[in-house]
Amino acid sequence: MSRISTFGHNLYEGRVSFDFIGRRKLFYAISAAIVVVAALAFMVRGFNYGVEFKGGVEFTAKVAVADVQSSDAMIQAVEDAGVPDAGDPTVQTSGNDTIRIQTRALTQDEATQVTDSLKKAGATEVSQNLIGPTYGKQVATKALTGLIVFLLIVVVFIWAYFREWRMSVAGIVALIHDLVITAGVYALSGFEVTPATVTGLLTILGFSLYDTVVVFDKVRENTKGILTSTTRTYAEQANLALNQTLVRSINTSITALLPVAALLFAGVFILGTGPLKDLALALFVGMLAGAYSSIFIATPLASQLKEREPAIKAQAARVMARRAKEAREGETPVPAGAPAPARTVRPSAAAKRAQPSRKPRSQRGKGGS
Amino acid sequence: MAKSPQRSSSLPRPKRTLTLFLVVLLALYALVALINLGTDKGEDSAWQPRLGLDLEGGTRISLQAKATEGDVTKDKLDQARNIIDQRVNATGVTEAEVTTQGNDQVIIEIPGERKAGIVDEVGKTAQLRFRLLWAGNLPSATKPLAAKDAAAQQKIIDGIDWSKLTLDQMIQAELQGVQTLPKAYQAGIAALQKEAAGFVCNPEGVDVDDVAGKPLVTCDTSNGEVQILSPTVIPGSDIKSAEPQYDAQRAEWSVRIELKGEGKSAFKTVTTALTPGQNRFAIVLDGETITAPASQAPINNGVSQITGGFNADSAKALSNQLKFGALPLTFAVNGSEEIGPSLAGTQLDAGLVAGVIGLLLVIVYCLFYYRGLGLVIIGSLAVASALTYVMVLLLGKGVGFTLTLPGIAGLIVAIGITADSFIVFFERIRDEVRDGKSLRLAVEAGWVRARGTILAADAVSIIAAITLFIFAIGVVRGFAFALGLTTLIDVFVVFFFTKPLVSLLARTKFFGQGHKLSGLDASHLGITGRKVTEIARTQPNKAEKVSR
Repeated sequence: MSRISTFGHNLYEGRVSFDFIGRRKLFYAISAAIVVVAALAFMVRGFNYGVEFKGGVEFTAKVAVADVQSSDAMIQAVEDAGVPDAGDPTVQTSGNDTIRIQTRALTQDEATQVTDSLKKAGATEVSQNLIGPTYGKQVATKALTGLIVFLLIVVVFIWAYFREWRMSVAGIVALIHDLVITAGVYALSGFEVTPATVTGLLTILGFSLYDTVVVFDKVRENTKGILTSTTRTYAEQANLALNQTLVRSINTSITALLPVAALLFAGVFILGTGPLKDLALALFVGMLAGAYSSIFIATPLASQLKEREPAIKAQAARVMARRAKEAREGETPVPAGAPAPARTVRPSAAAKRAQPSRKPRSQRGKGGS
Repeated sequence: MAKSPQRSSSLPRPKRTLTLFLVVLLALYALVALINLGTDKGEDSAWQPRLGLDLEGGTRISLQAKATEGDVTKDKLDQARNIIDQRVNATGVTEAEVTTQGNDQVIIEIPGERKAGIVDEVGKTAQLRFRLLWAGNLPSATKPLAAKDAAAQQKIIDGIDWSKLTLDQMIQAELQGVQTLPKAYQAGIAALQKEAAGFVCNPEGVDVDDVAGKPLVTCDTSNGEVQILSPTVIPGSDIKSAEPQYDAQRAEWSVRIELKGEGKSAFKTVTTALTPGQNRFAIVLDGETITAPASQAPINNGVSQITGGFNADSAKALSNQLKFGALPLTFAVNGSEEIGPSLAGTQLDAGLVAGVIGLLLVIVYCLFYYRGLGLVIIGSLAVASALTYVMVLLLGKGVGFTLTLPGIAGLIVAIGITADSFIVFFERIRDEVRDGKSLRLAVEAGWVRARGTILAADAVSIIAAITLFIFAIGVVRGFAFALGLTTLIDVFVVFFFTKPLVSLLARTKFFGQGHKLSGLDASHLGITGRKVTEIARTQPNKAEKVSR
């Protein structure tokens, strides 16, 4: 336990450091691979749309014990109802005593006929849900409108809050990354896409950006006055921010995922089917992806975009020059054994090496020293 | 447990803030108790959250409005909602709730009983028609016609082609009696008279098949007058406008209607023929006569007034009905959902189980990681839950917020987001201590920095919730509302509960001196060589930040 907190302290001080920014190509590659797989899965397999998108009737029947036998009895009951359109229904058990039966679109009278037939076959209580084929589409279309408006507002918000359009871009890229991955998981797992899934996807938007904003806030803090500093580059400061917020990111992800995991658990094991499960899977995958992308995609990308700025480039060059000079003069601040000369030629000092050990903040003096 | 040995005036006053917070919380609960006292025994207790249909059971029908002409406007939709509300509640269903949603949806929710048959009834468009009154002032029968006889009469009526009748023939039938109609129609007239003799005028509403091109037997439910009416002479789509108006001289409310197109000329013909005299025409809405006025003067410009015993409300209601009947809004049934109460209960139970498990897991994790500070998180989550619960109750009473399954999911998800605010804050405190501040200073300095982050991050959540609420429909909305509500509560709790509580705790011996189990001890924070109460000795520049 205290090892975790010492670890946290070391991360904060920069004694232990993971080079997120320097290895960004690796992370981009990993993400690109996952995104490609997800997109392929989506294109090849497509979504397993729920009855809300296809239109139809969903019956929920309460039986003594929901098992294969009672499911078969229910299917037989639907066949026996004398409604030709209701043939070949989809049947799932839900919980211990509930069976869900989905058929194609029926009229009210036909649906009532099926209900009566189900009751004859031993169902004690039957609910029916007539769904127009456009309902799911409407939910999705409206949600899409909301999504676009939300993205526009958030781009402006992040830009206004951080005074940095690059962070807006990076945040949105990370968000799209999360959405594509979640969509891919749905295509691969064959979980049903229902309005509840759409809700889950939309929540990911909020959460993914929420997480990104927390990390960006630290990046901004660390890189304030970076132009006058000769000891640290932008990339290094951004990387430090990532490391400093790493413990928070881990803790937050865990606390956010725990309730969602409980929701997923209740949805899958207690109910079996239904909106809880649809919602929880989207949230679970999306939040995982969101926590990953804030660290491995959003911040490296924002940093990369920022490094292209001439002023930042020049500042990085000054830092490099100074370090090279120090190295030549033998004043290496790096502990013995570190491959000191290697970094002099790198454009980004956040390359694959240990971070230089630093003096405590209080002794570093203000920027410009 | 808050013991403050010495108090610095420069520090905020956490005790006062905490007290205020608790007073507000108690006041909210007192408000619910007050509301509960005011409710009748028969009504639901104010302590019960309003549950959505997916949790309580019942029928939900969602209707999609389509405009055959022009756009679906907010006005048109609101009028449609009112009419549908009247219809649903006229069928004897209690507490049916009819709401508009988005730009073009009407949602009907009928709790408790299952009433799927209602779908067909409310899905119909309100149809307003002008007909001539061939026979009126007939008494309501005490016993309805046997189903077999009624069907036989209807068959005779349906077998006749009424569309060949001209307007003049229909007018003549009213003025000089139905026997003036051509022979081919006499059998139909006899059938109509038999139907009328066995017509029961139910004040709750009449059940007739109103077909524009055929004559109709119906009644005026306000006075029980049974009538035989001609085929439609002016369809409702010819009404241009209908407004309630007040005649100050006569101290009387009336409804002014304006017709357009063919209806205008037909109205002129009808009123000219009927004036003067006791002869009337009938305005029929969905098969029920809403008024049967006499014509007092020929009307050329298509503008007329319907008078007779209106008050402000009924005049407005009638003009709304007229306008609505005239509006080209049709509805398609988008979905109809029936949920049994016990099935709904399963969903609620599963949702609650998930919530409790989720909360417990978060608590265990926080205690494991933050030890003593974990108690602060638990306390904060507890008051956040208490606040959420009371807000759900109050919003249920105030703005009709109902708790749905996606809404509960939203609340569960919010546990994580709420806990994150505390994590951001605590990690900041630790950072400040590591930077060399004493614990008590670190709490204040860490708060200043954490505050910005928490607000920015919560702002994103709020933006998401608001945008979704505005643009989304159905389940997504309930979720968005719950998310927005809990995010606001999160901000409120962090500012007015967690922060003052931590400030206060930092003054206690257990936390302030960094007891081993407090989560704030030196080794837990990873600092060495000093106590958490001390400011780092190697700190000549105070706590200056590189970034400042």
